[in-house]
Amino acid sequence: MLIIFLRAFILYVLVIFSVRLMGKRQIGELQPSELVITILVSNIATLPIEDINLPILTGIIPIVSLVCFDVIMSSVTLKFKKVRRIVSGNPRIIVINGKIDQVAMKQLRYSLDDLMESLREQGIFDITEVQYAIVETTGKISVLQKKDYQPITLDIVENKNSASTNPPQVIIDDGVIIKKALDVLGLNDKWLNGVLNKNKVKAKDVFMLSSDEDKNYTLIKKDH
Amino acid sequence: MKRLIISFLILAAIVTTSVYTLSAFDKANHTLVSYVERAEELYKQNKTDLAEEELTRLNRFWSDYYNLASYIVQSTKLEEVAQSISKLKALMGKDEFLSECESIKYGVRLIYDSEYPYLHSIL
Repeated sequence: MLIIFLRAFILYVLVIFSVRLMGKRQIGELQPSELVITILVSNIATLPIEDINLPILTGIIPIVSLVCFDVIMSSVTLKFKKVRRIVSGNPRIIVINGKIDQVAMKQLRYSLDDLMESLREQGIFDITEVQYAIVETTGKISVLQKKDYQPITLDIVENKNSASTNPPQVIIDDGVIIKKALDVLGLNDKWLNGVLNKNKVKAKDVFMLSSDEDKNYTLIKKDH
Repeated sequence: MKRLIISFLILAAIVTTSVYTLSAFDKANHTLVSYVERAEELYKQNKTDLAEEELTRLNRFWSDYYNLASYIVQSTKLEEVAQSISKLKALMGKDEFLSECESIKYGVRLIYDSEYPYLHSIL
């Protein structure tokens, strides 16, 4: 009995330490791979607690290793976008201007019920109110309502003549220019170079540059 | 960055400790088997007193070996060998003595093999 108690205590401390090492994320924000790691860790921890024939190291080593692999993978995905895409996937647009992209829904194995449920959770009961619905890499659906249905804010009142209805796009992500975003917004390299020159910065020194169709942009330089 | 360094350090520590433990385990296995083989030889030469002394040494060594192995090996596997070792003295003068020695050697090798990262064990 005392052995089980002591083992439970050791593994409790270890799991706390492991979760701390993994970083601060809430369950709903976990990437699928991180969620799997979390479930695996909790599963592995129970084995040596229940079975005293198993050395406690058979629980400690896989838990610590998995958490370390996860931390290393997180750092790699942070540095390399391609790896991030492989591991976490890309956000997918499933509703554009009230129209459902059925092909994308099928590829994501999302049913209409799933979509409607997510919309209802966000207080939207009519699909035609949706400007954009995006399935994030975590599986959550982010929704942008059409301007006519959005609650009135000072910004909307002040920019009532603004033609832009689409959300801003990220044009430079950690020094990397996303050509596709420029195309989507109908902007070009000339405009981009103009923005960079105006801010006296090179593309590689930009942490984030986003813009909407009205060329209203936000530029954040890298800290270092 | 700090987390990344900690992770690499932990993984390096795990790998180093594992390799060290495995080599220590291998060394201990050789010693244990040599005790058993010496006891077998002495028994075959009818030097039962010397064989018994060797078995006493084997028993003493086994308790150290058990402590080391229990950190990494399932206790049920160790208990099978422990039972065979505890029987040896009682089996002196009987036909089963040599077969029990063989089963100890085999059991110890199995324990080591279960920890060694062979491809078939990994897969």
